[in-house]
Amino acid sequence: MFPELTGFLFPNDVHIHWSMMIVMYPYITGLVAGAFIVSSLYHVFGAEELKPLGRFALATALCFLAVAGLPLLNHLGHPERGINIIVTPHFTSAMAGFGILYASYFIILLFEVWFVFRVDIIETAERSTGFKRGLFAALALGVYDTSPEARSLDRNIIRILAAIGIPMACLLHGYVGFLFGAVKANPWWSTPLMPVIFLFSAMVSGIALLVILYQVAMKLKGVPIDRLAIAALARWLWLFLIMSLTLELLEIMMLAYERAEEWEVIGHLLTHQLSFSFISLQMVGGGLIPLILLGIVVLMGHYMDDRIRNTLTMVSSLLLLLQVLAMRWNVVIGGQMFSKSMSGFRETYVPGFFEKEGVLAAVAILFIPFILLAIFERVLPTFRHLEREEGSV
Amino acid sequence: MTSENPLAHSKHVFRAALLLLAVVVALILGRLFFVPETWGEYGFYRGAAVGEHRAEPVRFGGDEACEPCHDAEYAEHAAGVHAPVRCELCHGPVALHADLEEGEKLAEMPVRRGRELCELCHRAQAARPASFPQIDVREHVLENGGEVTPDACFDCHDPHSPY
Repeated sequence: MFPELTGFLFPNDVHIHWSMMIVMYPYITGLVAGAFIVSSLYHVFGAEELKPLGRFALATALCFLAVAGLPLLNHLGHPERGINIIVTPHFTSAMAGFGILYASYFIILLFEVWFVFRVDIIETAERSTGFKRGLFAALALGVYDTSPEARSLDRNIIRILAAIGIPMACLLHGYVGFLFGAVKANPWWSTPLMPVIFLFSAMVSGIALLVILYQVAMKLKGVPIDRLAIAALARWLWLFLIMSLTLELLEIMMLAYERAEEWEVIGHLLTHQLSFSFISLQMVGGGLIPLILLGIVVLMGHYMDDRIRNTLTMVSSLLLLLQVLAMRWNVVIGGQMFSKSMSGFRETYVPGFFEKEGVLAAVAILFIPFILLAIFERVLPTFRHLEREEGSV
Repeated sequence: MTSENPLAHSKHVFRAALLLLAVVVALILGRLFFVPETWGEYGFYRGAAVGEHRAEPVRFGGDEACEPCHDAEYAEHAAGVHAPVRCELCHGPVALHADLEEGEKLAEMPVRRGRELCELCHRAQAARPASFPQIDVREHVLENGGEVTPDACFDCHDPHSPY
C-alpha cells in the first residue's frame, strides 16, 4: 500500500499527485516557444539563412500550441470546467495566468499564420472548385488581393505580430516556470531562476525538434537539406544549450555551495532517486554529449561534409529532446519525491502504461501535433515559398 | 490603379481586424454563458454553492446516534482506548443504515473488515509520536504466532476496545 517510504514523512505527505501529464505540459509548451523563436529569428530579426524553415517553424508552433492544454485537461477530474480559466481571467492565482497568456498568444499566432499563408490560401482558392474553393475563400476572408502593395503590408504586419509574439512566447513559457518557481514551500522549485531555466530549455527543445522535423521533411520530399539552415540551427541550438546547461548547473551549485538545510534532501535526491534521469540523462547523455557534438559542428563546420553535419545535429537534437524531457521530469516529479519535512522520501512514482495519466496517454498526446502538422502541410504546404520569387514571406 | 489611396490594398487587414473584434465579442458573450450566475457574490467562487451545500441532508450522526439501539457496543467503546475514534470512522455514515427521525433501520450497516483500516493509524511511521502504538503488521502478526490474513488484526483485537 505504501511502497518505499523512507525517513521522516508527514502523514499527509505520502503520495505524488502531479503525474506524467504535468511533465508533458511544460514539455509541449516549451516546444511551442522554441519553434516560434526560430520563425521569429527569420521574420523579425532577418536571419535569412533560416528562411527555409520560417513558415514551417510557425506551423509547428501552432500545431503544438493547439494541444498544449490537453495534458492538463486529461489531469483534471472535471475537464469540462477547463474553459473557465479562459473566460474568467484574474490575477489571484499563478495558474490563472494560463488563461490570459494562452488565449492571447493563440490569437497572435493564428493571425500571424494567416498573414504568412494568405497568398497560398488565395492561390489554392483560385485553383480549386466547389466546397474546397468555398472553404479557402472563407479562409481568405473573401479578399483576393495579392498585389505587391498588399504583400508588403503583410510583411510589415507579420513583423509586428512576430515581434509581439516573442515576449508573449517568453511569457507563456516563463510563466510555466513561474508556476513551479513560486511554490515557496518547495526548495527544489522555489527559485527566481526557474522561469529563466524553463525558457532556455524551451528554446533548446524547440530548435532540436525543428532540426529533426526539417531533416525528415526534406528526406520525405526528396529535397536537399539546406546547408546554411542546418548550420544556423546548430549554432542557435549550441548557444541556447550552453545557456540552459549553465543555468541548470548554477542552480545546483548555488544549492550545494550554500549547504542550507534543504541540500541534505536535494543532494540525496539527485544522487539517488534521480540519479539516472538527472546525472545520466539531463547532465551527461543529454547535456554534455550534445554540447560536444554541436561544438564540433559549429567550430569545425567549414571542414565538414554535409552528411556528417546533418547526422551530428540530428543525433544531438534527439538527445536534447530527451534531455529537456528529463529536465521537466526531474523538476515536476523530483520536486514531489521528498516530504515537506525535508528529511524523508515519498513513494516512488512509476507511471503505468495504460492508466489514465500513464505513458500511453502521454505518447498519444505528444503524437497529435505531428498529425496536425501533416494535415497542415497537406492543406498549406509550408515549403512552397522557396519555389517563389524573392521577397515572398 | 496603384496608390493614390494608401488604404487601397488593406481591405484584408480590415477584415482580419473585424474577425479579431468578433473573437473578442464572442469571448465577452461567452462569459455571459459560461460564468455562473452567482459567481463572485462573496469571493472568487459561485455564491450559490454555499446554500447548496447547506441544503444537503446530514449523513453523519455522531456516536450518540448509535447509542439508542447499540448500547452495549456504545458502552464498551466509550470505556476503551478507542473512545476518541468515532463509530462512523470505521463504519459508514449513519444515514446509510438508519433513519434517525423515524427511528427505523434502513439497511445493514456496511462493516469494513480489513487490516488497511487499522493501518491508517497504526502503521509504523516515523512522523507519528513515539508513544502512539504503531506496528509493522506482518512482523507483529508473525511474532505473536498468527497468520498474515487480510483481516488478521481481528483474530486477537476487538476494534471496539482493543487490548
